[in-house]
Amino acid sequence: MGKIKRIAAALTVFLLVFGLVGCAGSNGDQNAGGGAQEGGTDGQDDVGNDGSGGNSADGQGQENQNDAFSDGSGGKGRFLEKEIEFPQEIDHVTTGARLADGSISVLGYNANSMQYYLLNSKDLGDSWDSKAIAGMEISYVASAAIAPDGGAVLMDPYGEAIYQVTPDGNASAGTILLPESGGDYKNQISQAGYLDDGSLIILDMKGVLYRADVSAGTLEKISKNMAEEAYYFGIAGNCIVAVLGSGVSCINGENGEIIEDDTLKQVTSSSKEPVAGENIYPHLFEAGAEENSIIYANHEGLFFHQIGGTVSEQLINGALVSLGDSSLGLIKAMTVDASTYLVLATDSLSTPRLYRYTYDAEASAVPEKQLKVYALEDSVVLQQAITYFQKQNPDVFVKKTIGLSGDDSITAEDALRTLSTDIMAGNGPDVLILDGIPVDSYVEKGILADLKGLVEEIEGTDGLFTNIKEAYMRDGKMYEMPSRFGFSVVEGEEGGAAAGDSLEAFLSYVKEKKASNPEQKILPPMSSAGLLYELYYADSASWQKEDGSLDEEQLKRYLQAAKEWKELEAYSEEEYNADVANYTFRFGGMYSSITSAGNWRLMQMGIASVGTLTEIDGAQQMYAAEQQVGGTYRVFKEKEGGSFVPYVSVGIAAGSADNADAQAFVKGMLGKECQMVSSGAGFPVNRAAYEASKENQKSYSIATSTPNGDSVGMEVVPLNGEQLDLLTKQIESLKRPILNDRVIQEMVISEGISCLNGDQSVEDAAANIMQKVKLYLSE
Amino acid sequence: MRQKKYTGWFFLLPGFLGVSLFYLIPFLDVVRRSFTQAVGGNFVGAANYQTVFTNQAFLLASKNTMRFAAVCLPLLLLISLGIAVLVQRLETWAGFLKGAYLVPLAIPAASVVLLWQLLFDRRGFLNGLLHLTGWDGVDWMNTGASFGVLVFSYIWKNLGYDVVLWIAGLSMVPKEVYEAARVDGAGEWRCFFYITLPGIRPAAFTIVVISFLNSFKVFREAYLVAGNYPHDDIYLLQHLFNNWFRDLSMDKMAAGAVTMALVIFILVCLLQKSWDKN
Repeated sequence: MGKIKRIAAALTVFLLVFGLVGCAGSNGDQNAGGGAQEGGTDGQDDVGNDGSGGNSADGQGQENQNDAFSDGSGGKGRFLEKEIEFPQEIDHVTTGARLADGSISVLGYNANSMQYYLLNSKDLGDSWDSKAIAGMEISYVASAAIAPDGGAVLMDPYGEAIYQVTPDGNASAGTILLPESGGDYKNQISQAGYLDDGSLIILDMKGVLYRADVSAGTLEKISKNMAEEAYYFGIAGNCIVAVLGSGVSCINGENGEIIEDDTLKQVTSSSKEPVAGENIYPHLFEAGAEENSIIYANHEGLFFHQIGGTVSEQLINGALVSLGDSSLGLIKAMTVDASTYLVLATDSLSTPRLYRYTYDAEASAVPEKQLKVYALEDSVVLQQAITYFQKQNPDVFVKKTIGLSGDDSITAEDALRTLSTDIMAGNGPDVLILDGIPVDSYVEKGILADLKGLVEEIEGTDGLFTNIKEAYMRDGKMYEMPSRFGFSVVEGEEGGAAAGDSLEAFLSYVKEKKASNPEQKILPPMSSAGLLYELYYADSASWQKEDGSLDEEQLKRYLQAAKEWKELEAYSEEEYNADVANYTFRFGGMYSSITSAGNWRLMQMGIASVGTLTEIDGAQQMYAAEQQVGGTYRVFKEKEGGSFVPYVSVGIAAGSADNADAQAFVKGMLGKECQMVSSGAGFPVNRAAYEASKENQKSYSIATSTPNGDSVGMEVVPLNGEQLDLLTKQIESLKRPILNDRVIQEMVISEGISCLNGDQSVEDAAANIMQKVKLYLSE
Repeated sequence: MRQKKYTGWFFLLPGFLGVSLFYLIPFLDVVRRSFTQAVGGNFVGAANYQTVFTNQAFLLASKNTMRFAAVCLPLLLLISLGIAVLVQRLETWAGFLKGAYLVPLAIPAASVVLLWQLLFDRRGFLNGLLHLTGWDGVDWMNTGASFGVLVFSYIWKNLGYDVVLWIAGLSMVPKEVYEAARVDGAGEWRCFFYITLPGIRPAAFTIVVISFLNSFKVFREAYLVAGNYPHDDIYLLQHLFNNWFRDLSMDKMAAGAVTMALVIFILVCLLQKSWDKN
């Protein structure tokens, strides 16, 4: 009996202890695999596919794809991507469709000859039959649609010039009288599409859907009961899939009845509005291969949905193909059959792209190899690099982990601690995006591999900006390399630009101007944070002493300059924020406003400004403004050698130094092809990509108005050779990076905001920063 | 007889295994790491300890942590004991007050932090009051005043817990002893010094140790209000360990943690010894 008791006691102890351990282990596993799905409990957002070949939505729209990589044993079968070439004369595309006879048709355009083409392919894009459209008198088509019979309709924004095009490319003019807008603007057509029965559907600017008869010039409202306006729509057979404020709705094209579908309603929760006038949409809707079904495509992938069903099935994971590239503008999805789909898109350079996705039953559901990439914050630049790598290496799955996904309240500190845990546990990433990561500490600990050989290889083939590269050499080794960069410039009338040798000189100039003309707006509005960031980029490179500590006097100068700038103009904080929201854009988590400085001067809301130049387009805008109102721009602190703002710095984990995939990823990221893609987030470090970007400059117009309501505008044109040479020289003159330590930067901005808001004096703010920085550096 | 001898061990075993798995074995790993490089695990001897003992941030944090304990512990113990003695004498409201004193423990740290921010912000409630009375505002969290704020927060949060512990200790002292002393003409103070204090000595050891360990938990509020780099006066060891972890300085962190554990262990042993001696 006693023996039984002892055994029972021992068993109880065993179960109790190991049961507890088991619970802990089980939780740990969940976090490792699905933390992000549970709201990011581990503070990370792992983006990948589970390889299950389809995610169910449980009746709540598409399932979050954030999931861990499977070991590749999840089975076979995957849609593989192939990019289809267009005929040489096509440099833009407007729309496309699969015709009733099964062939593919695309409406193409040649910008040089301003000629539209109807392309047709009977073999899914392997060969094209191109017909120039004859008989059209307009050169700008706002919207267009291809009919099931291969004909098309092309229209100007106001419906005043509509051309019906026959399948053999002959256009005949028609017209449609749109209802009045009811406001002080003219109503416009924003989108067009054909139902399977050949009816033309148009959407006007007010979000109302009509059935249009171009020959008769008549319009018939589709759904009289529809209370909401539509942002855009897709056509699935005879069903109009409209994106409304409350979600996506299916409207029967014949009788205008709304078909209830709660799952579909959940598909779009954000970014409902398409890019105006570019025929680019956040989500594409099209008829599915089965009756009464639709497919929809977005940057997360391509999904199948049975109308009225409770689930959406993911057919293609965007992370594994080009769809995941967020810089890609989606134009049209096309269903060939259940195993073949096409997606028409345009890249950031407006180059047309057509992707064909074919199901391969023998391909593994997810690639069997994995490359782990970590970044504290997501960026277009990183996503482009992943997409590029994924295309080059379809057998490798890139698992992107974002520390600050934005979906939770995780702080950068929390995210870095989670990264530390992963690295210590041997689960660290192969490739690290080092923005915001304590690089010095990682180098000291031997976490990062030497990139010198790899970078020099790229330099040998494409060339790199040597001055940028040299700034990252440490004792003959290189542990990080920025993929992009910007630099501070002073822009404005000649005197203002000439005063850009220091913050004091610049402010002294603008204060003098203000004194002579108190009514004139001298400096454009900027929020406290925006202003502090801009001046930080402009000035911080010289703050650090040789021993690594900060120079308090320099810090005081900076804070004093920011305070004086803020006090110079009588903009209210609301005005600052409202205006800044309109005109500044984020440059890698950092504010930048210089490209709009010209606009400010045009609008008579400033005579000079300091900001960060991040791409050739910014220089184009400044020159365009200078054509109108004079002035010039220069590198800030040109005489002592300007500084640059690095962006998306990349490094390889020492443990992956021999990992060929990690090396290939970084090589691709810094290579010409990937760097050529315009992201608006910095100049490429790759010299060949920079040279190529000179050839890709665009011309466009900017219209705005002065505070008095007078309309003003400027023509933005490509830079000429002299201007480009100057820009190149400016870039080559940049000597060192800004003080690029996230912890110090946050301390400076945080105390700076409080100083600018009047909560503390410049001296107190500088002393507080110094105290904190001293503590930080002493650790 | 032999069976009975081992029965107690069986009861101890689950707890011991749990403590071993979650505390002792990980701590042994920390001890091991304190002699190795942060990454790679190469043996470096006492180099990490040398680095830590010459690290200005570690010295400052150690000084602040000790200063905090030295100021807070006596204050907390005295105030809570005084309140416990008073509450125990109350015939009515005693139960209510015991509960009320425990309320701060039940308030989540996030709510406490919100209260702190409302009270101690540059434009907070306290500065508003000071302005109303004609005084200049104080930057509570960016000056030496931050230490006072931290001490206040610790005492506010732990007072009720210590009061309850003291009351439990006081209830162990037999009432008959007091009655006999009073019959012999002893006053309140004599009763307190010669009966109460000796009577609660066994409980006092536990309360001191618990209060000391609780003093390390004040970091949570300090971190949430003032961040990773607060004013020098409230920069504690936990701030430093937190930041070292972020920067992957596991070597320094391990050496610092072992040092801290040793100091606490020695202090507790000394306390125990002095208690036993008395």
